[in-house]
Amino acid sequence: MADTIFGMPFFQNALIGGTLIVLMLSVLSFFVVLRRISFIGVGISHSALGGVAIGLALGASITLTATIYCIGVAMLIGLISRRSQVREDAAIGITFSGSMALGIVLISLVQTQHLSLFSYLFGSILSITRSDIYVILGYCAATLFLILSLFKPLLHVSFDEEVAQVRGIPVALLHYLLLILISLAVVASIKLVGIILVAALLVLPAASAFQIARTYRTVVGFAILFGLVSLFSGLLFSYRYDLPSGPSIVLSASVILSICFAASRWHRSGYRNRGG
Amino acid sequence: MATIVELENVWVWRGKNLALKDVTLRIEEGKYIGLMGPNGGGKTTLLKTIAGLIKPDRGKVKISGPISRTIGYVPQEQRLDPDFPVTVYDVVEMGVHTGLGFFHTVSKSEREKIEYALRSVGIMDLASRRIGELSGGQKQRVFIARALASKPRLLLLDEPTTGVDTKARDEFYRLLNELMDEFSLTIVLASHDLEVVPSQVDEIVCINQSVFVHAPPEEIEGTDILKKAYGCEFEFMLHGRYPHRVIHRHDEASDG
Ligand SMILES: Nc1ncnc2c1ncn2[C@@H]1O[C@H](COP(=O)(O)OP(=O)(O)OP(=O)(O)O)[C@@H](O)[C@H]1O
Ligand SMILES: [Mg+2]
Repeated sequence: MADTIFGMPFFQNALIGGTLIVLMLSVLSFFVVLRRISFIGVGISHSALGGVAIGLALGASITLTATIYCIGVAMLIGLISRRSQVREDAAIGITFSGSMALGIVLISLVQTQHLSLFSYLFGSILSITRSDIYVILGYCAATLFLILSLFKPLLHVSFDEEVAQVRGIPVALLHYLLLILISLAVVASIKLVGIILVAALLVLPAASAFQIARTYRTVVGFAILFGLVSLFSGLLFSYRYDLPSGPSIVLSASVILSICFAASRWHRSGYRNRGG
Repeated sequence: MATIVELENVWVWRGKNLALKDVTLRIEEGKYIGLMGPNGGGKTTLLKTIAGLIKPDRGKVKISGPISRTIGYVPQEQRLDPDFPVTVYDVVEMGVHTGLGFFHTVSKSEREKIEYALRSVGIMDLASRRIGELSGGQKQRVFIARALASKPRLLLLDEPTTGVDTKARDEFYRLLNELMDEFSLTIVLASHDLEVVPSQVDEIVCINQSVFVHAPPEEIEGTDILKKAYGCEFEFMLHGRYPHRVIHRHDEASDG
């Protein structure tokens, strides 16, 4: 089976695009888990439906409208999360459910034959084209460049915001930057992973890595590895059983998390038994 | 002597609470200041205002030099994520980086600063331990090393001996004395260690919204200034016997 599908252009596109997407999501997931902002990831990604729908309604580039819309939402959430007077979780919940409602209404209005809401929500292995790959490559390059070049300041801010500020690190700027990068990764992932499940991939790779690795370098390394393994096995499943690609990839990632969790439990109980 | 920090008529509200009320304070280079006052008296607020973390609502704060090169800040006991994936070395390394620094790697001179700081506080052997695996007192030393790695001229310490046992606390104060000479520091130390601090420092600043007193400990000994600031019977002695606190019955009125 493997020989045949790897030769197919759509599968190659899914594989190349998926690899780039997963690299982005896995590195970002490190900071999402570290800073405990997974709900912000959910908020931004679900809001993307509003941006997609506006693009469809206007007949404009969906990538463009979704990017602008997501960054707008990210800035709003970022502003709210840095002002303690407003309840962040409530604000995120309202923003993303409102955006999804807007998205569904707009999409229902412009509904055409070949437009499938389902594939925006859950991703489709068939959907990535050559030109999508160039867009994904651009987003991936920008995201990885910024996050890797600013890794240490981001780590410092996540560890101790106050001391980071005393050290002259622009704390608020980095907070917003991270949210913008999450937005870019979300938009790049819509076609393959889908709006509903991309937030899961902003958490799962690093959550698994945190179970078994102890320093930031190894956590990031394992997160990337787990992301890639989830992608490859998910895509194969998706093709083999004709499943939407997003849920297949997320299921693989969840299996990896369970294994890592069990491994870390087993390891710890080993320590206890030897100690006691 | 040169002034390193100057606050002029500083007012700070935190939410609805007035935390600092018309505080005017001058700290001279090379001095060891003990910052005292009751819970909620504004010690943390004052240190954060000096470190530039809180902008005063009124008044001025002047620091002689850019904050990131002048101030080393050791925050009050932090709730720390025990699984945070950094080692002691990584934390101290955070002290040498300033600003955004794209693709920051550690240069040779930075590595020397980090190792010097680790050695100065006596935790070189813990360098590769994960930060979450240390005791409270060890963590406190790491945070001091992180502050020292930036070669500050002014060290701000916010209740560094909370949860540290008596022996370790005495060692800690000895360490501070050494560091002060070694790094030519000015120190502002917020603390509730009423028994120890007065015998260590050059000057005491007692704060409860506003500054009640700023004077060498000898001048305060035996007066009722601290009593006013703390709102309870209190006096301390510098020499001879243990310093002591007199615990009185509550006022008749509050006894009901
Ligand atoms: N985050 C905050 N929001 C609102 N008010 C605050 C906040 N932090 C402190 N305050 C208020 O500001 C005042 C000064 O508090 P601060 O923390 O500076 O006192 P402190 O002297 O450091 O006390 P402690 O000895 O307990 O550490 C108090 O009235 C406190 O209630
Ligand atoms: Mg305090």
